Amino acid sequence: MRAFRLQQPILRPTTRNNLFNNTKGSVLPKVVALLFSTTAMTKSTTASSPTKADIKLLARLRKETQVSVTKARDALLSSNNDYKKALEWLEKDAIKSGAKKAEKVGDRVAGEGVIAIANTPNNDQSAIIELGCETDFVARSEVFELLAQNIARQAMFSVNEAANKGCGDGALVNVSVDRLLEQPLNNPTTGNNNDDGSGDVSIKEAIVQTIGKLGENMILRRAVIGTQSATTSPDNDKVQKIFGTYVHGGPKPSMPIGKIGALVSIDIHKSNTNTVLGDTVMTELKRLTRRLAQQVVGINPKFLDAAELENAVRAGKFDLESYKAQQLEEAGGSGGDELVQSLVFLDQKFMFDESKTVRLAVEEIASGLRQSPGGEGIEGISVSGFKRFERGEGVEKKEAPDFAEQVREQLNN
Amino acid sequence: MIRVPCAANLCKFSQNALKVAGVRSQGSFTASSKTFSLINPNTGMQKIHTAVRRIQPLPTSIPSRFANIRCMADSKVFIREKPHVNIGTVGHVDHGKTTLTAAITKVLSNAGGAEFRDYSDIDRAPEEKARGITISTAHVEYETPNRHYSHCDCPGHSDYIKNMITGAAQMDGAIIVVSATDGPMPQTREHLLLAEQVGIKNLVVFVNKVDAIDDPEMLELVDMEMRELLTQYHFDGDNTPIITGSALCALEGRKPEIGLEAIKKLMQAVDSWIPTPERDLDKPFLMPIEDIFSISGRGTVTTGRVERGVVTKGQEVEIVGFGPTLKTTITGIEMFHKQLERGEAGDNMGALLRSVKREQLKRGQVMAAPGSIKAHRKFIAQLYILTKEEGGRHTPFQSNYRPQMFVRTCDVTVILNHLDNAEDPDAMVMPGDNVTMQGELLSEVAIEKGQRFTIREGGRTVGTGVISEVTE
Repeated sequence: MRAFRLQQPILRPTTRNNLFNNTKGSVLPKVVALLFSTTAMTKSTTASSPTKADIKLLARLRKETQVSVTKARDALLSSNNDYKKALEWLEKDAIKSGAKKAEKVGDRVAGEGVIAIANTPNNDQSAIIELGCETDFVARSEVFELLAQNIARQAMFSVNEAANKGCGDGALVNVSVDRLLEQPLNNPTTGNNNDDGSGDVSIKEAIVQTIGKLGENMILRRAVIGTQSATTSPDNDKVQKIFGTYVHGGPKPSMPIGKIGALVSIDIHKSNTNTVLGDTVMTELKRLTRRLAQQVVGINPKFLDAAELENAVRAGKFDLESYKAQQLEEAGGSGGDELVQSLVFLDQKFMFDESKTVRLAVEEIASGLRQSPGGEGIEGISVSGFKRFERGEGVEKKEAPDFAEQVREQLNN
Repeated sequence: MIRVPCAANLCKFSQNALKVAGVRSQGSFTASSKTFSLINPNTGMQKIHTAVRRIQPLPTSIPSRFANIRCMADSKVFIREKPHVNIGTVGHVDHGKTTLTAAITKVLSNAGGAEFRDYSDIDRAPEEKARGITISTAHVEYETPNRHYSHCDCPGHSDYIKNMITGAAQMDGAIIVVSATDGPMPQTREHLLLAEQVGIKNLVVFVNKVDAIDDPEMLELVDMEMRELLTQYHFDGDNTPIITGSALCALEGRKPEIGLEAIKKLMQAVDSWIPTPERDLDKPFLMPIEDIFSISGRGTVTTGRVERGVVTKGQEVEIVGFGPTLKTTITGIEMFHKQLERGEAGDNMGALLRSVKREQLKRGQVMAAPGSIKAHRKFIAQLYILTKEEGGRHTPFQSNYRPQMFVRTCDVTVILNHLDNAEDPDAMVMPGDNVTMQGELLSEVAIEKGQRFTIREGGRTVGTGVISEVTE
């Protein structure tokens, strides 16, 4: 019968409003009072746990931690309706119950998710990561977005870790996901923002906690970083690297997350190690690198230059002929050199000025900057590498039975 | 009713039925559609219909013909008396959307009286507008004593937005499913945001799995939190029906007070809270002009398919689009070379107009009830840009993009811009994107909120859209 009663408006508006007010504003004194009373009670009734969770505390706990109703109640019950203890209990429980959930959902396909990018203010270090989940509802939720952004930022600072490994791919380094997972993460989703780092959890733990919270499988799929020390060129110290990042299809253009992202590195060849680039020059270079990254996202090149394409073809890694045939079939008409051009980043038409190739556009900007104050020390600019991440790329999606069929299955069981 | 195990057989069967009925089969309809029909011995007759289709490059009337064929397979023609409503379930993956839908189907079929019809929304999809887009929609059909429902699932935000824009899926209302054990989750906000974004005004909440909760206060909390969230996303949080129950209990026939009864309550709430959409017939008259003829001795005749409403001989109409609005009177209506008194939504008709010269009219104008529609130049629209695989562009485009816009029978150049070009001057739109943009037409055309259109470039469809706001 309980269900019936509840279908009526349970809470008259006034009661509801009171509850809200309590959870938002004036709750503190009451909670403090409650805290004292429960502590007092605990003393007298020693260790016997209450049978009922305090509903106001429950509401507050949910608001602050976003844990499930059941979990919030468990927390209050096992801490005698003591809010502070309940929070502690939840914190301890988060990884444990998250792990349980993670195990349960671990075999589900996480083909949705986000690409997150991170870049330092002066573009000298950057990272791009992919964090997968099951539905784009979760991918769009704030909790998930924050997690992805934090992981990207953390990946950026794991520079040394990665560089030492020396698994370079040109100027950009593939970071081992397993190692990245072990890195600590200052995780705002659990409220552990302690400056001393005492509240830090590893990236892995943070993901597990988020799985517990959002109830979907999540996978940190890959990460690539750009870093100064990754270069192997002999005149190392005369080369300054600048990284450009771009991500497309996010909720807002200003947010560093989206569906497709790219990381591009350019080498500034300087006449002298100590040359410092002027502010206006830096601004121009940042704009250039972002546009280059945008081009990588938009036009999707496969190779940096013609030499790289040739090497790939020679090594049997890329079948140019069948690619041409496929493209001709799809697009019809155009072919030949144009197709090859569209594969090679430097030979592509520059999106922002289609009369030039990317190579020419970069050269022109370089010579332009040499003339401008603060750019005198620039001998040349070369694009040294790029990486493009597309969400769900290469994830094998199981052909899910469609909704009507699933319903039918349930009916027949 | 004959049990039909698979789609191919159903089609074969339908063809046979056609022969029996003395109708000639007109081409292949097996390639683009699949249908399932099932009879559950426990629950009586019910059918679940699935349609996964690739809209063909050239529009044909195959889908609607197919629908008719299936009606014949039912041995009696389906006459829709009850109003039709499209609803959907939205919720977290583990909160029991499928179980709930199965439970609804079962409960309604057991209630008797409700006969399950195999009826699809295919006719409704503007396939001639959304050519080349792969759309997958799956519905379950059922009916209450009051209405007929087509029920779809909503597994993803961008998939649904795309279906909404292309017209493949449409929800008049939705059931938000929330588990009592979890309560609203962070992604519940995203579910509500989607509903808000696609223009759903009325939601019903089903709090599922209440059998796992023994503390009624916790259910009160879930109720309260849901109402707060609903209000936050501009729904009527105070009055939205929130039904608690257990879909599993209903499906398994246990604990009727939270099973069977809850489902009945839920459907009563859906019946009463989600309004019946206005039928095309009840709207003011509108016919897009397809062709114009000058018939000597009689005058000027326009032809087209009536989009909505009813028109009678002698009625005054306006001709809207490309220049100032013209007023005229319909002095004759003709269909299949017969004179008629009346034309209505769905009719292909010719209209004889009083004192209008052929030169004054143009394909792309509309003929409408006076004052019901105006010509505009600027609008804001939600667009879906076709991927390369769907036959669309290979490369992104930026602001100041100028494709051709096809709206009804009209074809006009449009300039597309981002809503705020200053925010990111380099902003681009990629194939596969759902994006909101502002459009400016080179000539004034009869457009209104909710109007669907396609954009084409170099002879191919590159996108499809729906107008969300007319600005000038």
